[in-house]
Amino acid sequence: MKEAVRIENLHYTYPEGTQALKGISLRIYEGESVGIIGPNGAGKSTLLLHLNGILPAAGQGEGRVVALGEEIRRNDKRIRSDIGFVFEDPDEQLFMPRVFDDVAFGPLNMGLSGEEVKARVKDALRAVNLAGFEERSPHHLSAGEKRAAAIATVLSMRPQILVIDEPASDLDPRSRRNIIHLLNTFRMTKMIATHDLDMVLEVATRCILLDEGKVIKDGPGEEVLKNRELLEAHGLEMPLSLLLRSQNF
Amino acid sequence: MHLPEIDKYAHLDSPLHSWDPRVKIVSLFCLILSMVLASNLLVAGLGLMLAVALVFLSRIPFGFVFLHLRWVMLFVLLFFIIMPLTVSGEEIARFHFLSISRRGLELASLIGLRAFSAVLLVFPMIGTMKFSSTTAALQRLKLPNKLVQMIIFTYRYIFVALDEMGRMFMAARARGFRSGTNLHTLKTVGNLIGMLFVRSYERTEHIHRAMVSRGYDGTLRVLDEFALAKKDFLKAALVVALALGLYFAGWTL
Ligand SMILES: Nc1ncnc2c1ncn2[C@@H]1O[C@H](COP(=O)(O)OP(=O)(O)OP(=O)(O)O)[C@@H](O)[C@H]1O
Ligand SMILES: [Mg+2]
Repeated sequence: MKEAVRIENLHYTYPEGTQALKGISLRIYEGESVGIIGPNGAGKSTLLLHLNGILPAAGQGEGRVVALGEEIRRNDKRIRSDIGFVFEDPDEQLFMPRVFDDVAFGPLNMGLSGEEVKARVKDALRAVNLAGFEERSPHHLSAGEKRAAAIATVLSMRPQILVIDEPASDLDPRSRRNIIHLLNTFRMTKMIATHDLDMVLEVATRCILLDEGKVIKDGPGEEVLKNRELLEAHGLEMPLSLLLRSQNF
Repeated sequence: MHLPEIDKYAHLDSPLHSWDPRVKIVSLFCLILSMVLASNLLVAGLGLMLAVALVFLSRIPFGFVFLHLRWVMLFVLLFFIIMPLTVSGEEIARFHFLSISRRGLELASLIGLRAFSAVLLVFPMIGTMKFSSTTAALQRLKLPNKLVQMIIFTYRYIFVALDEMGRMFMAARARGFRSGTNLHTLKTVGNLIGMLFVRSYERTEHIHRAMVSRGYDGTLRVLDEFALAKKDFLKAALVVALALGLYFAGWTL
């Protein structure tokens, strides 16, 4: 298996002094779908942010992050179109007056031709079931549509690694289901940070439990999610579906 | 909550809607300029009529236009109160110690007419296309890129900020806050606005982060989707001729 991401002994302290990561090491292989779980403040978002090199410059860090064979430094200004980053709040991912311009934003920055940009926007919107939404303004989309559009804005760059922070927070059950379905249709390497353990069970092949800036457990999805004592010791609850199964309902 | 959506009627069909955004902006800008420079009441009146005609042509409902004109009216009203009383000249009426001058009244009318015509024209100009076309056109017209970005983000996040403010006031009310004319109200509102600033600042950092992660390097790029046709230039010639006509009429009339 080819390695997609390698993280070696990663430490990071925010300028305010919060030690968010305290020595994280892990390897992620191509095609893996990795769920990163942990309670609030565990360091999930901070870890993911290291993959696109955008963190407060004043923060202190050590360790190495290598993605797709290249080292990523904090505050790397190069375009990483091969790593697509979807932030937690879609209102921050969708900043243009219409959906088309948002989805075209990445490809245009990559210097692609007009034709290519249009083709990619079309493909990306179709991939998230938003064909025909080009002219809509992001403000008028529903929460579920915003999520999907936010994902489209990085799909249009055709990334090899998709990094998503909290893809389903504040979604109703149906929109959440749609997002889960979408994530399962993508074939690239995925890293998904979330509290939604039922979702992790459905989309992730592997699960990494973080707490207080450290990797507590790393293993096949179901194996980690079945470990009730471990999850509860770290402020999480076993996915309902597994709980029901374990009690033979 | 009422949101200032200038492009609410962008989907209509009219000669102004089908006009190329770049040519439309430049031509109507000339017309606005000629109205703002109107030197006498007659020309300013003609200008107002022309502006009303263009709004009519654009099919944007007058109700919508007037809704947005409220603030201009307030502003103009202010001039009507102040100028007749302060500008000296031939006296046409007198109440006790207040004297109303003809010159002041004329000046106030002139300012009012100019303001109304100019603001009215904004509707056929940018109300007849999607806001994204407006900003793309401004960019093609070589407006400084940073300025275009400021316009885009202001427009996009004004909605978000208004929603946020609405939520914050709702939360304050849910906890028993009632506004009144007292110090407590002032303090609370001040705090809420302060919070809004802090949140907006954080938000800009996050947006910037999202932009950089998609390859943003300080320059905003948009796809050039405009195509010019002969009709666009014909409309431009007509409007610019009207603008020049108004301007020179001011000298002779
Ligand atoms: N911009 C920042 N400045 C200062 N401290 C921060 C910043 N972002 C996060 N932190 C701190 O770093 C720690 C880890 O935060 P992080 O956001 O990575 O956690 P998380 O696992 O994503 O949590 P959540 O589930 O709430 O999203 C927390 O203690 C948090 O307070
Ligand atoms: Mg987080």
